[in-house]
Amino acid sequence: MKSPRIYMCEDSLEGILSAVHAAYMSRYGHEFQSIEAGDYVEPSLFAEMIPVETDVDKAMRVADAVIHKISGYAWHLIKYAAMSCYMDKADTIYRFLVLGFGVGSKVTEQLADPVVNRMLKLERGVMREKDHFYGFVRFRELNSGILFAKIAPKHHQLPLAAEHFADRYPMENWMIYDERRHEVCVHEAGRGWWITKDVTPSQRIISDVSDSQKDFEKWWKQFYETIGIKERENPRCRMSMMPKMYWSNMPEMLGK
Amino acid sequence: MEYMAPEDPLQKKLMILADAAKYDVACTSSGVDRESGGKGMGNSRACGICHSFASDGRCISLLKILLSNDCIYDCKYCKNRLSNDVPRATFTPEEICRLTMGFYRRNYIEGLFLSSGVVKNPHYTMELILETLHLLRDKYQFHGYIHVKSIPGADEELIRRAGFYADRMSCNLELPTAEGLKKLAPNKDRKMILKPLRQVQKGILENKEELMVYRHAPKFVPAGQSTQVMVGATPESDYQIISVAEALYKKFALRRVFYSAYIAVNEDNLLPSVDTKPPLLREHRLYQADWLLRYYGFRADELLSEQHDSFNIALDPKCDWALRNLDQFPVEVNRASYEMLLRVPGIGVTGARRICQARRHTTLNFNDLKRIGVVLKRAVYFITCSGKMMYRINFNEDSITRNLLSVHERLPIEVRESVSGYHQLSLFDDRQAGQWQIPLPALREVVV
Repeated sequence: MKSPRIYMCEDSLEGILSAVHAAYMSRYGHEFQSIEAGDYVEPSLFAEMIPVETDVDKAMRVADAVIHKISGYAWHLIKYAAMSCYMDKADTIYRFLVLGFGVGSKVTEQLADPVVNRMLKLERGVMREKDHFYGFVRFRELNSGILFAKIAPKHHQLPLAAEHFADRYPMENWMIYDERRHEVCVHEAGRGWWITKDVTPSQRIISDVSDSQKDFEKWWKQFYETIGIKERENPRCRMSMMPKMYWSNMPEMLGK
Repeated sequence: MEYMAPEDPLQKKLMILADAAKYDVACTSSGVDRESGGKGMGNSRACGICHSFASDGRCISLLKILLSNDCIYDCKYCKNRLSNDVPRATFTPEEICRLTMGFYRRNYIEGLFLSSGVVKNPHYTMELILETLHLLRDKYQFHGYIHVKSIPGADEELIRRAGFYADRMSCNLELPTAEGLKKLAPNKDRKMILKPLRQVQKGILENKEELMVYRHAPKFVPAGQSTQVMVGATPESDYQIISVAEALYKKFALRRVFYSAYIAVNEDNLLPSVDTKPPLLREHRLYQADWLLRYYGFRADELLSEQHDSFNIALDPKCDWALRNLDQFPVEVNRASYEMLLRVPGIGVTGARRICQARRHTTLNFNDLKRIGVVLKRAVYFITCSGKMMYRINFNEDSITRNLLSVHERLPIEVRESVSGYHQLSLFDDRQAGQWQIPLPALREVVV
C-alpha cells in the first residue's frame, strides 16, 4: 500500500490537464493519486501534496491524445466539465481519462458508469446555465456607445458567452463583466475579443447610460407588460422557467 | 380594457399592436443555424433561445407584433374585427426596424414575429410586410430570426419574395374544420388559407433541390411553416382536431401546429359566452398528443377514435393509451426496441436514447436507470429489468390507473378537485365491493 498523492493545480482547463499529465508521467499508479483544482484543498493527514505548474504545452499534448485516442465528443465533455463550479471536477476528469484511454471512444456511451455519469452531469450543468445566459444577458448602451452587460454565473461562462456574442454582434463594441470572478470580456467592433482577469469596472462609467437606452428600456417594459395574457396568468411557471437569480439584470423584471 | 395611453407615440403603437398580437401562440425561434459571418448583426441557433418569460409563463423569444390592427375582415372571435370599437394603429416599416434592431442589440429578443390585420386588401398588407423585411435584411443587415405571416389572398409573387427573407412562415387555420371557419369567419374560407400553405410547401421542396446543386443558393423559409388552431370556440372533438393536425403534418409538411385555448373577447351568440374560462387543460392534452404524433411514432387513430373522441382529463394521452393496451406491457428495458421504449409512459426521446446507448455496455437495473436520468414515477408500472419489475404490483388496469392517478401532476385547481374527489370515492367503493371497476368513460365525458 503506497501513500496517497494529491496533485494541486490551477482552476482552469490547462491547469487540470497539466496535472493529469503529471499524474500519468509519475507512473505511481492511478488508484493512489487524485487531482484537486483551485486554491482550497481539503487538508489530509497522510497524503502527499504535489503542486503542479500550469504548462500549456503539456495540456495541449493531453488534449491531442484525447481527441485522437478517445473522441471529439470526449474532448467536448472535458472542456465543459472544466468550467463547472463543483470541487470534484478535476478528479472526475482524471478518472474519466483513465477509463477513456483504456476503452477508447466507447467510453462516452457507458452512461451507467459512475465516473462517466458524473462527467455528463457536470457538462449538463454548464450547458444548461449557458442556455439561460444566452437568453437572459441584457446589454445596456453606455454614453460612449459601448454595450455593457453584467453577469454572475455559477459556472465559468465567460468564454462561452464571448464566442456566442462575438458572432451575434460582430460590428459592436461590447463588454461582459463576470461579477463573481471579476473577469471582463472585451470585444472590439470588427476585431476579436479577449478576457482580462482581476478587474472591476468603475461604477460611474457603467451607470452612465445613453438616452436611447432609456427609451428602449421603456419600450421593452411596455412590450413585456402587454404581451402576457391576463386570463392565463401563471407566476409559478414563469419562476421555474426564469429563476429569480437572473431578474436583477433584466430591465423588464426590475421592481417585481 | 384599462387603458392608460402613454405619451410617447411609438410606445402607444407598440402597446396596441403587441396587445393585438399576443393571442398568437407561436413564438419559437428554432429551426435555423446561421452565423453572422462577421458583418451586420445577428445569428440564429437551431435550438432556439428564450429571452424572457411573460406573466403567463409563456416564452418571449421574438418581438411579436402586428404591423397593423386595422382590419377589413369581421371574424367573430377576433378582437380586431371590423365591427369592434378598439384603438387602431399601424407601424411604418422603419419603426418596426428601429424597435427590432434596438431590442436585438440589447439581447432582449431573438428576432421578429410579424403578423398583421388586413389593411385595405391582402396585397397591400403583404407589400407592407415585404417592405419591412427588405429593410431589415438588406438595409440594416439583420441576420436574426424572422417569422412572418403569409396573408391569405395575397399575390403569389409577394409571398414568394417574403419567403426568401423569412426563416419561418405561417398561416393560421384558425378553426379546425371548414364548417367552423365558415360560421365564424365569413370573409375567409378554408381553400383561401390552404393556398399559401401549399405554395410555401412547394417552394421549400424546390429550394431543397436547388440547394443540393448550388450550395450557396438563397434559402427559402429554412425553418419551415407552422399554423395555429383555436380550441374551444367551436364544438369540434379532440379526435377531429388531432386528425386535422396529423393530416397537416403529412400533407403539408408543417413543422408545428399550435393550439390556442379560446379566450372569449367578443360577445356573439355563435361563440361561447364571455365569462367562459379558456380550456387550458384541453389545450395541454392536445400539445401532449401533438408531441406523440411528431416524435413518438403514434398515429391519431391509436390515441382516439370516433367512439372515444376526447382525451382523458385525469391522465396524459400516453398513459391513457398504455392502459388501453396493457397486453403490450411490461416491456423489458434491456431488450425492447427503441420504438417500443418510446411508447412507455414516462420515457421520452432522451430517456429512450440513453437506455439504448447504456445497455450496450452493461445489463441495466433500476438503479442504473435512475442514474442515467430516466424518471421512474410512471415508467415503473410498465417496465422490467432482467425480467423483474421494481415492485410487486397488481398488473391490471384498475390498480395501475389508481397508482398513476396518485402521481402528482400539476393540474388546474378545478380539475384537481374533481379528480381527487373521484379518487377518494373509488377507494371507498373498492373497500365496499371488493371488485372495483374504474368508471373511465364517465370521466372522459367531463368537458373542461
